[in-house]
Amino acid sequence: MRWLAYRVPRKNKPDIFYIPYEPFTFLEAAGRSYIHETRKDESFEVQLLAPKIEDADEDFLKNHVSGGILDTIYRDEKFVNDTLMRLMTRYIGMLEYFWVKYVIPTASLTWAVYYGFTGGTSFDVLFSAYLFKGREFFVNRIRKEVNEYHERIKRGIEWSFKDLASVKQIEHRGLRRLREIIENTEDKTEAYVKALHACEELGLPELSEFYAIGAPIEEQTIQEPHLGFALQNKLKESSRKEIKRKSYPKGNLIKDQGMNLFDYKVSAKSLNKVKTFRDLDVEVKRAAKGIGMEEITLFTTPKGYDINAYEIGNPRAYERILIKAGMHGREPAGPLAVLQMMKSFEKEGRYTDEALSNSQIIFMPCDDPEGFTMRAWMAVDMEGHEEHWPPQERIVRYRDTNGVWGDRAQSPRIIAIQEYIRKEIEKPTLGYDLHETIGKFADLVYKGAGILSIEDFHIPEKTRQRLESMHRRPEGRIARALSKIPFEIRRYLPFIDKEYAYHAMKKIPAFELGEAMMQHVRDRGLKTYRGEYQKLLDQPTPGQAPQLLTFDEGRAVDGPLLYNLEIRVCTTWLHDEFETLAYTTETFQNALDERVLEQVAFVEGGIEKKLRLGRYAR
Amino acid sequence: MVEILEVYAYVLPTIGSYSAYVDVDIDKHSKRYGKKPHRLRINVYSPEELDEGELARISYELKKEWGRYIIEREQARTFYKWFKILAPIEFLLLSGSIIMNFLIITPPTSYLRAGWDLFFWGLILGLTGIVPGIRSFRDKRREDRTKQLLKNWKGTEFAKGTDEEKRNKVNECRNYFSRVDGRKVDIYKRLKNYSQEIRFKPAYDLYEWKIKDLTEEESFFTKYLPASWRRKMKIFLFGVKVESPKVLAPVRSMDV
Repeated sequence: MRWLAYRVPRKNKPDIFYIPYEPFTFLEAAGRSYIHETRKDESFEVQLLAPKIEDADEDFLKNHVSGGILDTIYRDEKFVNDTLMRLMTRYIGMLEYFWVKYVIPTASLTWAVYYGFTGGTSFDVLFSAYLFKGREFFVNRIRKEVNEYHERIKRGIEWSFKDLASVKQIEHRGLRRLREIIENTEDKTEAYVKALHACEELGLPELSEFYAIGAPIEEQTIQEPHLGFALQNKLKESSRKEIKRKSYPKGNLIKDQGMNLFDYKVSAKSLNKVKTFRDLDVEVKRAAKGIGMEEITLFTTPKGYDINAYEIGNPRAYERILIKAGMHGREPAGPLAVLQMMKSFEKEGRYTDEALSNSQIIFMPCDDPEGFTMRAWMAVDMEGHEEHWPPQERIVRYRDTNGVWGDRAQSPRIIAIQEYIRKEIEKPTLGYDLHETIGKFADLVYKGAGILSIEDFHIPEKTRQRLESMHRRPEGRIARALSKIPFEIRRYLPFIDKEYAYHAMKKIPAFELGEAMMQHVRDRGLKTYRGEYQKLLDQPTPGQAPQLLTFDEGRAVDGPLLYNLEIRVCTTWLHDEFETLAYTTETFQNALDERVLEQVAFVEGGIEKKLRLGRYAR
Repeated sequence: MVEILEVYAYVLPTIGSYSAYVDVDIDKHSKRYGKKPHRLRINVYSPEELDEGELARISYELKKEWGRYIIEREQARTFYKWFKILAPIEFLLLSGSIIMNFLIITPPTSYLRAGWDLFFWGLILGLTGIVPGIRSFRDKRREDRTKQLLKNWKGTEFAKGTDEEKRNKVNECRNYFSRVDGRKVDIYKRLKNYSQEIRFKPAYDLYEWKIKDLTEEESFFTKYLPASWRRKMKIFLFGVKVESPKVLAPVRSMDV
């Protein structure tokens, strides 16, 4: 048996032992301990990949490495346990299915009583008794067996680690290169950022997460936990909030009748090269200069990065389309989609001229430049302090920057963006905020799913209440069982929702726009959120108000979890303040180019529909 | 005496970093060599030489994938084995019921009663007991074969691939990759076609699998915990297909 650990280089600190934490590490450990058990002749060894083989005390290495591996395995155990239990409950649920357990035995017993206990009917009684009690016996046996199996695996892993013979250091070229990068870069954060983006090319993608968390930790203002109240023990460099305008002269456009508005030709290799905000900014500025956009600097971050907006089109037009992205640094497809849209204007498509004469389009590629560079999530506290990955013990105090748009306490950058929208755009008529749901654990649920649209348009209170009632978790076993009946049957049953959400929402005129956008994405051969994913989202989570209420394929509105608590995300704020038809998009784990193009197609569909271009022309 | 079996690993271009693909299918391998004790010698064909750390990574991935495969197989079957007892009980109850219908009740009522019993008990209970019971037997065979293989697999060693033709093909793939661009899935499609052109089966298999992985709309949850009743029922009756794993290890980018 063998295990693999890493000796990861850090800046001005000793190297650290690291074991990447992946979902199902526990199962892998179980597999390995199984192999170890069956091959009794082989001793157990941990291979420690290191930048350089160094002299170290054998016992020290053994204790530390095995401790670390066991910690990682047990961290995953709860997750595996939960998944296994959910899996089991589903299967066992099939045995206990309402109709099998209650309806059929009752019908059978009635039949038996009515016709007398003779012949076949006595077997019906036996069957009913078996269903009521017999199967329960098996269900309990299965449950017990699976629990025991799980315990056995755990014991097996622990036993294997008792046989740990040695920790063998092995030199890895990639780690050596990482150490060089870190040593040759002066600034700590910069060193970790460089290391983060080098990991994949060096064949060590599993270390990206280490550096993605490592860089923000160096930046945090809260370095030590305090019990009473927050003390910012490291003053943050100040940011600047001042709106500055800069115009670029209009460039020459190349005609391309093959495209409508946006270009769908992307290069996966080039997209992969845009890793930091600097890379993105260079590309965005190049596109802006090429097509003569107006650049507006809204805010300068403490690190000196500018948060810019770019305007193109007719400034006197009624239709003002705001496309923003990059609020969450871990979601690169949004900023890259905005870049792709901006670059598309270097060519003149079939509807480019018409779209730019009848509207003004405002692009905001990235709200959180540092986050984009560090692939980090940013949160803000009540005093407006921003932190990337706030420390665990403070997580309650910090809120997602996308959740505070309607609050009085906001991050300074969001206040600057809001001021710009209020004063300069005045009244956006169509708004997009591009997001993603990706990450190791999110991928387990959503990998392969297409774009999801979370929409903000006026919904009469009565319709919203009806929509929420359809998602309310039914109380009691009978109601729960009945609620699972397919809609086609359910619509004919008394006392159950007759009207599906789709029909309730279809009466609202703004509904059409979202429908057109989703259709546009499908027409382009890209994925939309549908099928099994849609059904998963439709199902209410037990004991929890839903965050989203779905009403059509790949489309949803904010659910009671956000709406009733008055949590306003960017698009909700846009709708509340300006009655903008606003859309938050979510893409999921797919190839980066697919995610980028899904966003591009969604926005293109919206612009074409709103400005009545092409097939939507009157 | 432990026999040494030769298998091959190819370092092929993928977006981001390169991938070392170990061309061995555990199901086929266990069928052919599962019964004899052996060591695996992985002959590595790579455009550039791999260092010890990168080779360790390949060996780690092989063990990880094969180890996880056996646990997934075991888990998928753990509770199905109770159906082996559940199924005969239900079968006996059902046949007893039908026999009694014909012994005691006269036709045509006996036919009606038999129909009733078959429809309710037979379809619902028989299927949910008997089919998973049979499945449990089927899966046990595969599981045992894999267990036997893992018992007889006595370790892994690496060697540099010596076949000139294979080495050239790996280099050709790298050169071709440096010339293509576009969307990720299109790049893999072109690489797949190119591997077919140069008759390089392992590369063809790898890119075909990569394309499937990129295009399919399926996640762990939708596969194992589907929301639709049709899929739930299918999984309950026939189980989840535990696919034989592809062994892929990331190695450094070797772009030219």
